[in-house]
Amino acid sequence: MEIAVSRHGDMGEIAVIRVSGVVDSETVEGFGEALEKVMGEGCYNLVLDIEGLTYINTAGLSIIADVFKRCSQNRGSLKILRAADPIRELLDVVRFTKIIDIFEDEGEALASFK
Amino acid sequence: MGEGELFRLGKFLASTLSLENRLDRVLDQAMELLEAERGSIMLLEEDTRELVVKAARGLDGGRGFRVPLGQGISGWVAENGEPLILQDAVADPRFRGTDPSVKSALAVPLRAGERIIGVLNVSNCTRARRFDRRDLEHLLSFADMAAVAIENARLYRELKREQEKFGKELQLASRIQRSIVSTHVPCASVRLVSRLMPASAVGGDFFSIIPLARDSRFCFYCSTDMQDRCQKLRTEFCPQKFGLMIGDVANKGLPAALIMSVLTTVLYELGRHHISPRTILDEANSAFRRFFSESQYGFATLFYAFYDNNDNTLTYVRAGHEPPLLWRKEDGRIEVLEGEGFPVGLMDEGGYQERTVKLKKGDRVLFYTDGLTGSLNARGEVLGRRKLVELLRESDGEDIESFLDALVDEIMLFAGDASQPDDIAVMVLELEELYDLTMTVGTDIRQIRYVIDSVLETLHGFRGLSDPLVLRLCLEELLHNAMEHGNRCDRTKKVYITVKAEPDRAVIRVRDEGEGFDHRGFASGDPTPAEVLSERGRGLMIVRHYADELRFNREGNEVTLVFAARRRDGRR
Repeated sequence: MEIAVSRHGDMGEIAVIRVSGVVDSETVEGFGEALEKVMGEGCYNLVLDIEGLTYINTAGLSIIADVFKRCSQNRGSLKILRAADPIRELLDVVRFTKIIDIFEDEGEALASFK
Repeated sequence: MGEGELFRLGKFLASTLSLENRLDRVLDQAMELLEAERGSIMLLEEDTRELVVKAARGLDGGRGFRVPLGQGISGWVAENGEPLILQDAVADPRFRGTDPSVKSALAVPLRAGERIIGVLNVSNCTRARRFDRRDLEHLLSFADMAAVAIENARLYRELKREQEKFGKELQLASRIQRSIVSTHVPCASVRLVSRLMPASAVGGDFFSIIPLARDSRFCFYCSTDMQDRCQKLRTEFCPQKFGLMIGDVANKGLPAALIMSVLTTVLYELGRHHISPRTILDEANSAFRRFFSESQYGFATLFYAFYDNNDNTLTYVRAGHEPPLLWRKEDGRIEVLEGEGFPVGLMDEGGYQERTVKLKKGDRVLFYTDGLTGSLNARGEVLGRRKLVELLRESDGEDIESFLDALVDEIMLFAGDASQPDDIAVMVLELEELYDLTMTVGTDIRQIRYVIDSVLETLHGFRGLSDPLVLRLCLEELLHNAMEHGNRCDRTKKVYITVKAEPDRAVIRVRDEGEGFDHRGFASGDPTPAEVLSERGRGLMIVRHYADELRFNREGNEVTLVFAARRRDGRR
């Protein structure tokens, strides 16, 4: 698993987190910590770019659910960007697509915070 | 009071058993009959020596008001056991403090045998009706009858309380008895399903899987590979062998349950001592005779066996127990596992003989107690072993879980309206027919990746593997579940994995050593956003979606997944 964070928006108030590779029992902790760090800096406008994500386990999904909840509670929100088909199906199976917005275009995703 | 009225009241008192109800009713009747304005019934509380108002009409002090014995009119009547007719009670020095408005009063003791249990009072404040001797006679005969009914209600209440207490104890005993029984087989390739159905809350039929202590003297029988794995599991029990027993104490209910628990403990303990089934039975026999020397406690029939996973042999001793039936997958033949020996506890020398039978893949063994074959239906017929043989033959191709369900249904159907007269215990053991991989791992999250990789490697010939994400996801979920929710992270508990790989079908089975869970509670309806975000049931949702078949055993500690190879269109 690889993870990279960049800041966007006029004040750097939006964080784009690019995660690629495998989130499984051995990497899930690092995944959680990276997201925790961003929120710890007071940033609750998150874009999770998962184009390069090939696998995510239920523990990883639980982290996404938890982060989504906490962003909403702190007047921010979590958006998902570019999910590959198998991952998209998975997000559908656990009904995340019902409550989390998924974008195909980064510009659109960033604009959605305005 | 007319005869008819007394009769009606008598009938009423016999019909309802609530004490408060009765007292209200008794008081109402008495007041109506005597045209009284006020009335009360007080019962004597033995420990405080106080009279407590249990029913009251037209008085200031209601239910719960207390008067010490000897005080006031009621106190005097209760203490002296004599009835009173009073006109102008205030004038009587014995009853100082009595309400001055009382003009006329009657008070009679309520007796149960020689004991005084309370007082029945009626009074009037107007001079319209002055009570006389005839009224007192009425009230007396009426009070005697009411007192008996009150006493009965009280006895009934006490009896009920005792019964409830006993019921609760029995429930607890039943749970304890079930917790003694273990059905965790330590070998991945051996499956076991069972039912324990006592005729009452607890019973004398029993079975259990008994872990056998690891004995390094015999480890050289195992492959080095196996020995390595054994070392890794760090278990004190042998992962390749286990003991198995089924028995029937010649008694029913609580006495049988007590004997059963002692015998089970003895047999568990003997499993630690590296001795043969025959020696174990000899020891159990003498222990039984030592503990239960009075012959009235009877004996127990028992079938005891060691299973050895190295060569798939079952070495057994039969102590007067119903012989298990071995069904051969190969040709459908049925072998009866006979053997010599007396029931445990019957004779000083049991005369036990050991026999060995070799199981082949797909073979099944049906262990049972005579409650199964001997169960009577309403016409007085018994089911018999022949029927069992027939059912076992018909089970070819059926999963042992559903075979056992069908077997139990058959018994119930046969018994019809007749209540189950005897305890029933039944077990089916199967040596899995087809498997390409069996794994036993300790409860350790770090093992999960290794297990998944091994399973995926085994499934390399399976055409449905075009999307390893799905298999990986489902496997990870099942293994996590088994370790965290099944074994509750208990590192001494293990997880068993079996994989069958065919070109167009893959079967994966994961079993843990936990209590199991109730998988029926997960509805598949549309969840609310809060439910979507909650962790509960998410894993199951995923597995349910991707697997072509998902089955749980009855206990809920074994899950079977089936994947069929066919082109997926991405969504179902």
